[in-house]
Amino acid sequence: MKKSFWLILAIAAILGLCFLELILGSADISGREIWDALLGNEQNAEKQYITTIVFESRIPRILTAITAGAGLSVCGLMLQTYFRNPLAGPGVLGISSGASLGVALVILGGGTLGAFSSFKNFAIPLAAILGSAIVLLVILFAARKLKDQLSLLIIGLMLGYLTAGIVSVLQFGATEESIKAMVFWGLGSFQAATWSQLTIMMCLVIPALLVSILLSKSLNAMLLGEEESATVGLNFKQMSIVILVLSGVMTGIVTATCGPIAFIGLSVPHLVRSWFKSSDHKLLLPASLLFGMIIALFCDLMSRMPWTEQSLPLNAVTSLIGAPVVLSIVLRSRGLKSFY
Amino acid sequence: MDNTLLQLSTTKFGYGQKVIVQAKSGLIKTGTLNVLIGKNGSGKSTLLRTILGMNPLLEGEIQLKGDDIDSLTALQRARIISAVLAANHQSPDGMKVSEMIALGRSPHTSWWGKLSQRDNQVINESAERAGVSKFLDLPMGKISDGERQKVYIARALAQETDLILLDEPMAFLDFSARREFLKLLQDLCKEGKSILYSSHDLALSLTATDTVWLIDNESQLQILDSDEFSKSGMMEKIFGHQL
Repeated sequence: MKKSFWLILAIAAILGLCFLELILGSADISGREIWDALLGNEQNAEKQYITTIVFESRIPRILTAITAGAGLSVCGLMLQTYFRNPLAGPGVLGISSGASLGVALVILGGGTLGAFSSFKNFAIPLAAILGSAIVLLVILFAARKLKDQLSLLIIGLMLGYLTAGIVSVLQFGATEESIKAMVFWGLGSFQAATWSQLTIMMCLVIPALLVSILLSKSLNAMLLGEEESATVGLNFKQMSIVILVLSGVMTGIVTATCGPIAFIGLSVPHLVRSWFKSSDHKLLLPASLLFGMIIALFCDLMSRMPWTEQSLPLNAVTSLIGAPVVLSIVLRSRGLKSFY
Repeated sequence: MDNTLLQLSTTKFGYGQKVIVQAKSGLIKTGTLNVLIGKNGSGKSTLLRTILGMNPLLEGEIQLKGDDIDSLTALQRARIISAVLAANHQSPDGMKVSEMIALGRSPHTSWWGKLSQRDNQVINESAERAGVSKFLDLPMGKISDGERQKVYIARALAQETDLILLDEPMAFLDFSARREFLKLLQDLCKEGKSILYSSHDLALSLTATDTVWLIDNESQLQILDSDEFSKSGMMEKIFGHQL
């Protein structure tokens, strides 16, 4: 009872934040005008720009934020359960670094390929997905050889440095313009998405999320560890591959579209676990999905600083909000170990 | 197939190329209590783990209810065999006892894992029989080693399988708890379940079991009636002392 109450409240919060995202912004538009634009009732040609802002900027931004937030949070939850490690997440294990490398290869290296913008629309997501999948494969392979998670974490961190190093080398010979594009991309933003990028992202993330929800029961069994989970009927190898593919695809496409978003994938699962005090994925998975949307929308709103003309980089805000969340949970529960 | 549940034929157990235990034959009948004994490192766990599909069988065949065990999926196997492994459990401390026992129902529930009224009833009954009813709402991290062991047993009971394998289930129990535990196993067998457990407590086990699975000094598995075994004098030969 109480749990479904919280889930309904979460949905209400998402709707509320979407509403704020719609009406707040650097362009001063009233709620009435936005309503008219949404319904297509805007007759006044002078106010046509409002329709453009709503449909070309604010709505894509909202959809980008909720898709990315949900995708990253669910990835974080699955990876934490799979690696049985509270520090696992798209950002920490070097998975988004792998995606970054893929993107860098296209943005920086692709300079010579000329301005095939339509080519880039597909090449960037594809390269990002491949990049994150390759890092995940390396980590998975290492996880089979090394049983301890600390080594695994260090491997993930090193892979992150390694890819960052390669990106720096690539920048050496790149044009100023492409370096600038790369730096801006690295700051993270839900703004950058065009409808075509957004469509690609949603077409991949939404089915991946649906499949993830189907895995809830198996994720519960996974908490027993590889061997014991088999005694209650789990095909662990098959599950590993499914989680690998889902995480690779979701992290890859979100990173390609929004940049490497810090902390959302790591902190939301912790927030949800400590909130509901449960290790049941039938609850944790849908809750992570919804809370991921809330946190992403909230961080986006903060980064836009609607009370000023300025805006902050998204990653500054996700870190400023995400890091204290994780810290407070660690301190309050005297360690995260109890969830694994 | 009458009442044969599990059958070994010319099997070799071990790791990689290394054979640790050999068994020419062996069978578990429905409704019997069987104890697996042998020295430390003689391969008791290896044998149990192989039946559970965690180690590959090096040679021969294991039949479960007439099917080659290697042809079964993890799910099919989990509907016939449940297990309590020795120590090294990796379950999270924050998981509730009731959630842990409920995992025993997962081979039987639908894709979402929703527990039906009957599932909940089975969970409660299993907890009752294993003596952990009063812990149901506690997290696993808050109960003792012995209690945790009982929770795993409750999970195996909730799985409602014909065969239960237990690796050193009495390791954390004191003497009176062991007697009580063996009584529980005997009752379960009377209800038609078959059980194979490994133990170092020979004296007590011989009073309760139907057959003894003995791994001898030549790494051969021998299967004997418990009564026969007590009289045979084999124990002295292998363990070098009288009980």
